[in-house]
Amino acid sequence: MNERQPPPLLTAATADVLRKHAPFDAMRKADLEHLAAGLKLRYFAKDMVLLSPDSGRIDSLFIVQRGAVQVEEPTQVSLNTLAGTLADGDCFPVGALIAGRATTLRYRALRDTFCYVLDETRFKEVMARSPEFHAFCTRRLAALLATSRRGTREAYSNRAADELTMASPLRNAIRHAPVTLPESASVRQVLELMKSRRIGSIVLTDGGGHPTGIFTQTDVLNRVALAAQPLDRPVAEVMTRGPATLPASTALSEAAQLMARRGFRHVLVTDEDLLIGVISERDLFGLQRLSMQGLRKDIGRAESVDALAFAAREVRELGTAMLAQGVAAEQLTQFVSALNDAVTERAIELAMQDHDVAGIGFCWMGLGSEGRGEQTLATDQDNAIIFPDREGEDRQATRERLLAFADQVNRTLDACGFPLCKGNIMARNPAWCLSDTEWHERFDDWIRNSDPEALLNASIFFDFRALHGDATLVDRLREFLLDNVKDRPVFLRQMAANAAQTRPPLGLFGDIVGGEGGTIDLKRQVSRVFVDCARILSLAAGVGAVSTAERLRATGPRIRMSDDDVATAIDAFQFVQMLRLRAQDSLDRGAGASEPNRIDPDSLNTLDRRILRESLRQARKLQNRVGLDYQL
Amino acid sequence: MLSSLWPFRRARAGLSEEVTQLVRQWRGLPEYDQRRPAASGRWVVVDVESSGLDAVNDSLIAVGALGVVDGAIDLADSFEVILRQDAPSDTGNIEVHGIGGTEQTEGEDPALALAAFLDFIGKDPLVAFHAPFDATMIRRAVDRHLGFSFKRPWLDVADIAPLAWPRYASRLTGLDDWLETFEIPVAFRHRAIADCLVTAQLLLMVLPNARGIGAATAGELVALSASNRWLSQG
Repeated sequence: MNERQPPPLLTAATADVLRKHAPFDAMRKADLEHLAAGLKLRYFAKDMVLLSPDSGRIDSLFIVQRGAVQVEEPTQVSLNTLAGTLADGDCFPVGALIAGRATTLRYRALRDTFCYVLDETRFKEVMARSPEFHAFCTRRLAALLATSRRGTREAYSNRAADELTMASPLRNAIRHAPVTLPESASVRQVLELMKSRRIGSIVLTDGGGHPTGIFTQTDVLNRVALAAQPLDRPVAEVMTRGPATLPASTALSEAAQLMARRGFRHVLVTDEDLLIGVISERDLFGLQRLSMQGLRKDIGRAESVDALAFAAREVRELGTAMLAQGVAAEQLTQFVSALNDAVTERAIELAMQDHDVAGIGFCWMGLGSEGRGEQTLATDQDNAIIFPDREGEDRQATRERLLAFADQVNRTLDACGFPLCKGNIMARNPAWCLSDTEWHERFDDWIRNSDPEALLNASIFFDFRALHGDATLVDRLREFLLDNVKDRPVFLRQMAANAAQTRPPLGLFGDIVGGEGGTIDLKRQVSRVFVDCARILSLAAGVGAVSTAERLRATGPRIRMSDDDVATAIDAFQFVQMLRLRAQDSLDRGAGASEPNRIDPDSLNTLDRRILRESLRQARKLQNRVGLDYQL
Repeated sequence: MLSSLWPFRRARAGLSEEVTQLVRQWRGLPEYDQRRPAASGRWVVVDVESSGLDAVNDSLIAVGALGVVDGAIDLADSFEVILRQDAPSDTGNIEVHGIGGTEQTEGEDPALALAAFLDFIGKDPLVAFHAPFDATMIRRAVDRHLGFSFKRPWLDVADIAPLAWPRYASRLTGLDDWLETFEIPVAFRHRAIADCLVTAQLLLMVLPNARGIGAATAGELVALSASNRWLSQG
């Protein structure tokens, strides 16, 4: 019966139904029709179980044609533990089918449901011929993540329904209908209309009503008053020709970027070529004074600790706004880190006005998450100083000068919302304000001894990065580290053993296992696994990258991790980072808890729970890989 | 007596060897098992397109059929054929089923088309919505082109659906009513195979309820359909 083909009409109609959903919408027509021609259609009455662990080895793919399928974890009964609901176009159970195992979940029809069923043979054929389908089935995490980001964006935009964010379209920021005059009007007519309507700009149009130019208040001063132009001349001679125009669907952030980059103060907004309004720089900044460039400038210009603290607060606000826009965690943390770097740099510059340390040629280093560029919104300080040992100079005297300076920087940063480090890992601590020779000795000592304290220090200090000053000191320290670590397999093995002690909170059946009150600590139990494993793998491979994502990207090819595996591990790590950012953001909004990284998995929506579970699986996979490397 | 040697009541001139062979094979097939559970085994959903709504005088233009096996529609287990017409049906009729004049005059030889249809359906019970129309059209065509009397068990979904969902019974009459109520998506109505697909989806929903309406076996379900029609007519 397999060689029998359904009539083309039937195949085409079925393909049309599927094409409304991902990944079918991206598949080539021939591949999709090959898939469609092999489908069966089954019916499941409300409450019927479609699949469960008892169904045995999975040998077909289910695609919901219409209806709703509830995904349940058989080990749990409470309604809060729903793993998710599948709707039209959703496929399941992809993982179990590819692995040729039983499913760990139970799929139940929430209402009358029809599902297409694709047998394993045809599924594999389609996987082999359609790269889009293959990518969808194997990179499930990436697909789920994209959906989750969309969800984040929606959740935030619902919360702030009438609050315009930089992600809103220009359409929503228009305050009134555009005021236009023909370009043949005199300057006087234009000025009178501007006065009577109390508006700052007028759009000029040609005979056909198409905008040809704009005339603004600034132009009155520069081109009419100061240039002593008579008021009876046509405005066409003094207006700005060819004003910037953007479609109404453009995001405010994009418009702001365009204005900043090209120096426009006004942008015409059109909807299908029809002028519907004018947006000014002031409109945009009134909505959101925060922009990346603007903030950077504010930070760089801050002349006092108070001004700097104010700017730092705005960094957090902007971080929250970007989170709300569904910006991916990697970009977001990079962005927050970049601005935090700028704050640190400015704090150092301010302190240098009071302390004469410029001649020392030191370098300020960020450590830990700051070193990796993975700061979340609630990060305390981890920093240190490296200075050169120069002949004829008294090391202690140099240190004393730097410590006084560092103390001021540390206090400034504290005022800016980076709390002092409880473990005193700060540049003002004499133990971490060291000459290059001392740092080399210190690193060498940790690598040789690998006692628990040395391992703990290594996990913080080996993630170092130059933030201000002479970066060559830091480069040489890194070379030293990489050279020495690779000859010390014992040290790396100890690190690996240490990292293996944190187990991702996954149960026997792939479920998330919460600790006290059912919660899990995203930082200690999950993020750390990725960070530690990436550090070990990269040090062993002699890779100098510092951020977790960069470490994995640079190390993967050298240790025969496939690009897909690397990308999936990074996706998983970034997802956990995003959950941390979101949890911290909700704390800021008064959720109130002493542990910013602790979340209750049951409080997540069903999709995010699925992704978290997959992320935990990825953490465990990476950990197992490290464990195998060191035969733990 | 003669019929045991020769399947045709009266020999038709010009029947090809292929057609004769297919019909002979079909007649030799064993009857379906009436005692099998209603939800298992194969049902064949059938729909016809014709030159009009007069089952006695209009001619059969196309036949579609779709297998429902063990409670699943198998898209590959499907059949569609257009029967060659001496002259195309009128424009109004073409607008109903969308089978154009050329398609009609260049269709399959009717005898071969019907023989292939028999080969596809086997001796499994047939299913249709408002089955008497489809049954009559096919019976007449077989009689004319193959020269024997085609009598098969038909399950009429129009009879069974009101029994399975009594609360809708008074409101829903036509196929479109049922499709709308159960939100069954319709790609193209009035193309035989597309109508088979939607009718088959109604059948999928009926089968799990068969026992509930007193028809545990396939035979009982067919019987229920026929008796219901007879009762409602009486």
